Amino acid sequence: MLVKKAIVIGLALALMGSAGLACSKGGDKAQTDFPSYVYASALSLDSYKAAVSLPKELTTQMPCYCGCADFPTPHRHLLDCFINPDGSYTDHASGCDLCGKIILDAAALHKQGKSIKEIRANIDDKYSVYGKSTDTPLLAE
Amino acid sequence: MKSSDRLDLPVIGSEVGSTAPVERPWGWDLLRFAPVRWTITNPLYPGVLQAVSIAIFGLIAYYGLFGTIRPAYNFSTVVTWTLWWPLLPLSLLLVGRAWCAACPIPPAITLTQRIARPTRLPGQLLRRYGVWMMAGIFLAITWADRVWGITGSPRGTAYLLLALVIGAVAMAVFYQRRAFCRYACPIGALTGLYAMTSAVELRSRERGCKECQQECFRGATQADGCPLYQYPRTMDSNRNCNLCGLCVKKCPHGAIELRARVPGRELWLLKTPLVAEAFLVVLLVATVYVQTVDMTTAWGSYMRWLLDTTPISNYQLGFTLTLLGALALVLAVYLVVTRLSGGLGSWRRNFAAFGYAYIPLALAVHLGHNAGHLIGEGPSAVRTAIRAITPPFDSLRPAGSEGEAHLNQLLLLPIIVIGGMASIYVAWRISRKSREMGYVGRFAPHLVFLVALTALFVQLFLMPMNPRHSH
Repeated sequence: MLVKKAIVIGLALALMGSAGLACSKGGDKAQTDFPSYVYASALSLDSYKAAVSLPKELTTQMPCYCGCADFPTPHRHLLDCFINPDGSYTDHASGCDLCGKIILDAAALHKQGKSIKEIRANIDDKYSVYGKSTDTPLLAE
Repeated sequence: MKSSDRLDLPVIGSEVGSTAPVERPWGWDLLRFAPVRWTITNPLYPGVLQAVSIAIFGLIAYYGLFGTIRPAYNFSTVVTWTLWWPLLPLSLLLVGRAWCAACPIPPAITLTQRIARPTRLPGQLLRRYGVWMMAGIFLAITWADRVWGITGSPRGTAYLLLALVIGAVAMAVFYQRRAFCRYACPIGALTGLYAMTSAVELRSRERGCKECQQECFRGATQADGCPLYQYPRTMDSNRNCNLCGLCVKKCPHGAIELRARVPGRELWLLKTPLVAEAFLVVLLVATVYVQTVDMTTAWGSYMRWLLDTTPISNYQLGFTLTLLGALALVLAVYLVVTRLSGGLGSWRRNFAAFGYAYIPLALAVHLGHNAGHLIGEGPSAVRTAIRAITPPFDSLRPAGSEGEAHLNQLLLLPIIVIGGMASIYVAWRISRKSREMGYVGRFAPHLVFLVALTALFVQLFLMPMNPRHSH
């Protein structure tokens, strides 16, 4: 009887795994050589992928409202939350949900074909309530 | 259920249904102390506590649905996951399932039953599979939390709590008393097992029950019957006692005692070990392991290996398989250990009986994990909660204006070690119950497994841990 229950439990676990497989979206296997801290959560991984795949022209004209403007070395724009000026990764965004949400919103709008100016307006409108933004000039027309 | 609606009910009591009184363990009757007795027998207990928790629950629902999306600044997430969730296991260790007496859900159940007036009692299906159901719900919530981010989402938190209320109300339409609390509540599954380690217990005195009409279970003129279908005379465990005090209030013979005892004493005295509960303990051990790893820097390294090296490319799927794999692994090892252990009459009973030995370790890890968050983030959480409910009702604050306390993880190691030692002691006491074979042979496999688990958790706690809520 216990063996039967173990089999039932095993099948249930397998079914749940299959359900997870069915619900899953395909992942991107592109080799980006992220540090391990990027893999802290699904949001973190997706946001770093967005940071490297979006045009720099876009990410350097998006502000961040997580408070990084008040850091001893203030962030200049959203991209600074993911990548240092020297091109190396920073772990800031891996522990900050707000940075991740902002860049994923920007990525979604970029995918819809919105202009940088439109994306910026959307981000400012949605996230300005959370605090002070980075001092990020908008250069796009 | 009105006390006047007395039913011809079979004595349920413990799962076995035996009416034989249980062993009377040593302990002090706290009801001899006037303040304790006054509190428990007070008509306002636990109503006052429930009123407070209902108010807090309302704020959690409101801020969860309409407040800021930032978890570190939202009343619902900081109160639920940074304050209540870490304090819950501590309360279970000290005073059993007393939280359940203050829970805001039972008043919703009572209100529903006044309207629906259900006549049904839980049938065989619930009584046989209720614990399995709770285990499944607990696993589902653990999975959903990581995949959809419940603890990091104010809205997710509100939705979860509201879902529990809806489930309780739905069951209250059909069943008398608190069927949800006994057979469906995922928090109840956790609190029931952890409450078995408690330093207090509510039991009856044999001599007071000789001529009773089972008012404690059936109800009396001054109070209803036990909401969790317990019969104190045969009760040998805290797992289904929420310390609501109804039995104390209505027992005409003063036979109910609230005893201080050696913490966890019932774990090896239990007469009715359940396979389902042993499985739930295994589930707890696996989930606390995954949840603890999840918050360390090791998690990122593991997920990078998983997603970059194996065919799995989806993060959520990777986590799902990891959680299920951990459960399967712990279950498989536990099955082997119980097989090697033998004794206690049958493999099934062995599986069930020794499962309870692992509760102290699971509780210790749960305590240690959450103590780190409570001490490190608790003060900030309290300030956030106060700001949310006092003018100008603004919980957001400029980043960097307040520092967080930093807890040295090494200070938590004694908790883990003590939990491991307690589990080993309980396993040893359980192994001595059967005379079929040498108890050293029964004890040794569990000793090895418990030492290995304890070492594993100690190693985890040596790693830096991330905060529960980012800023």
